[in-house]
Amino acid sequence: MLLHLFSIVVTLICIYTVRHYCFTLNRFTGEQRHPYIDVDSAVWPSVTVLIAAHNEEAVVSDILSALLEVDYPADKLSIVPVNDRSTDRTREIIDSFVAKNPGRITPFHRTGGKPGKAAALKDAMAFVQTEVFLVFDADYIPGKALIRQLVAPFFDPEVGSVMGRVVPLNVGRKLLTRLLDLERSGGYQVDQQARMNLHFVPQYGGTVAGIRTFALEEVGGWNENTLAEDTDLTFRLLLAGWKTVYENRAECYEEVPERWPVRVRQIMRWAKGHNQALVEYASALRRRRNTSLWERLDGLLLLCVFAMAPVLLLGWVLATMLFYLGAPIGGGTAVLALAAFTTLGNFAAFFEIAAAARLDGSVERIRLLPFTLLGFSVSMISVSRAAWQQIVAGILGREMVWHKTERSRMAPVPAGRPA
Amino acid sequence: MNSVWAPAALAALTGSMVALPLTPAVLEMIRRKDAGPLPARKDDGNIRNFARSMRRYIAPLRDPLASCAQSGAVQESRLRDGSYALLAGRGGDYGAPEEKVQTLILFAQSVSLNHRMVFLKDLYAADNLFGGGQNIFRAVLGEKDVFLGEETLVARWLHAEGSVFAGRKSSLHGRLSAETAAILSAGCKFERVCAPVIETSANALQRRGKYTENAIREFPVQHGKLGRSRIRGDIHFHPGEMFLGNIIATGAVRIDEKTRILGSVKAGTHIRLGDGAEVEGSLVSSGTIDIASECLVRGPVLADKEIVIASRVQIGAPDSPATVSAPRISISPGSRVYGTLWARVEGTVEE
Repeated sequence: MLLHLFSIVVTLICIYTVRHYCFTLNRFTGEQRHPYIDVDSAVWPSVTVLIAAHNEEAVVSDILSALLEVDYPADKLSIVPVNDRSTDRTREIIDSFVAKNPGRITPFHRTGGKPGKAAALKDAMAFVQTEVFLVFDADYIPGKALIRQLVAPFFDPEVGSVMGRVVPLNVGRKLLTRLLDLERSGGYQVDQQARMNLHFVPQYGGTVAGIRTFALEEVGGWNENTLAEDTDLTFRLLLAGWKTVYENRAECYEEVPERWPVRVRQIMRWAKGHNQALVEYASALRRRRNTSLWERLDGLLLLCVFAMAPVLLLGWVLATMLFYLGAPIGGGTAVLALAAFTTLGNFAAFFEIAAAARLDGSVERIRLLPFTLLGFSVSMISVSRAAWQQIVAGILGREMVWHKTERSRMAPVPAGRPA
Repeated sequence: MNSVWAPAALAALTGSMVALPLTPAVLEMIRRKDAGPLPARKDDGNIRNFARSMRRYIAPLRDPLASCAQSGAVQESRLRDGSYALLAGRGGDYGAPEEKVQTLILFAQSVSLNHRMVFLKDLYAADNLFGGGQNIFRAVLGEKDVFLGEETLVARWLHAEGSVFAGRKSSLHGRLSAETAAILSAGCKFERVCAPVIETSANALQRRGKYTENAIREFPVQHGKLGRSRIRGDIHFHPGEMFLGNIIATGAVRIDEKTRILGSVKAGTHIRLGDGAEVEGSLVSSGTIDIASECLVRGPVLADKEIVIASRVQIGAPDSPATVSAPRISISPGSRVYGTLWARVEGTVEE
């Protein structure tokens, strides 16, 4: 019994290892798809940009300044900061921008309602009268061409949502920020782009992202009962026959957590939200016949990605038990040990990170790779803890609570921001 | 002694072996040689950015060039970065055949270049520029019209404030932009072309003089939300049919002669438009797109592999520019694109 369970764990981990190897090889040897990047001349549709802001006094002015400078027809761009029950100076800062830029910004000051980004976005949809809208978190700093890059894929009638690339801005602050920078690179530069190349399921990430309003309406709008509205929407769109596409060159700066407790809370929220989506959509996706086999397989693997951390821990416990019980596990432990390192963390296995650093032409940072083991270990334990809490909450009937990720930025980013 | 040193040595050796692979990581953590944010795109991607940059670069030469134009002199000048520039105030014929011009050159008046001249640095023309056959340019900025002779090669970019007329079999690498029109002759190779109207022609140089547009075909404009039809496999629209809505097929889409689609079309493999078919929205294919003669497409035309456009096709309209983009694009003479033609690998105007 234990031996069978151990074999299943090893097989699952090997599947993810092969998946990561395939993605990495695809980025180096496969055909790279950027089908919408060259859309230069077009009748650009009207677009609403929603900025999710909950106590964002440290960062909200940067994103508003950046959005006022983007290269998109001003009469077709509506900027809507969604000030979600902020208790700091967020409202004051937004209102000062509204006063200085009449007609450009339409603020939505949300004073009540259910907490959480999904709930705030759901209420903000009353301000969206355009066929496409974009979503940014308040700590993001869009470049001039970003809006066009995120809107261009919507000329494809099959596209329901678009995801851009997130690039950490505060990289050099701490070891944690440097590790998160590496992890983000692997996740976007290799993982997301490979899925785009292979016509799999790139994930809508909830920020630096665009959604077709009609597609969202068709799948029933925002789900305010989830902790990860991005994963939830990715799969609802997929099940309804809409594609999510990834734009690797639509880069946008973000602030990553600078303190380990903040990071732990962030990844635990992601894990819980992702696992909610797993429970909700895995079965429907498996049965879905209107989607290609590869999309379904990749979608299932994507849904299970945060469930792999507890599976991995289980594998180690089983391996130890079987060893002391004298069970004939053969090379199983070695396989598990090898595969474990390649599947730890949030998608980005260490060779994916190395590949991403090379693709980014930023080679010195590869030297930090051994330290990613630290980040991955923290992630594995946090994600496993999240899964455990989720099971307990499910049994006890407790509602899960959304936590905002704390910001560390102390002052606005100067005009000549790093690039 | 042995009892003290042996374990210590073993511990030190083991510690070194463990620490050795971590040394580069520790050094990078301390020295922080690569601790800045990755570069993200800051520019707006405008095709005219090179031209704007060159204008700024040569701005100090504006007054000396005007003086040369008045005196008809040719003089050498120096830029702020120490590089030389040749200011040619005289118009008319310029240069000897097969001459190599090694410096940045600025023409104050309308000029005709000799055949087989090679410009190793950028060229600026304050008036019309008439290139000779087999000229080679690094980059060209023309304040009025630019006429390129047959088999001209532009290595990096060309921008004209008026129109560009590219002679037969010219190779236009990099970016080509014009504020009025770009007319490409048969046999031309191109990469990225942007102009209010891009026309392919058997021989663009026969149209010397101001660009005048032929009759523009109007599109019916469809307002309101369009539904979508998803088809697993192929779909075929028969001649003369009309369809309202977006079509998404996992296989091929075949739209026969004179069929009208009041929406956009997406295919997993291939799209084929028959003669005179009209598509109000965009055409997107994960494979190839084949557009027969006299078709009209209002929106962007995007393919993962190749786009083939026959003669007398119109893509976009003066009031609704569009982009045609694919790794390979092939267009027959006599077609028009309002906006951008972008071949990531190679674009060709068929002979």
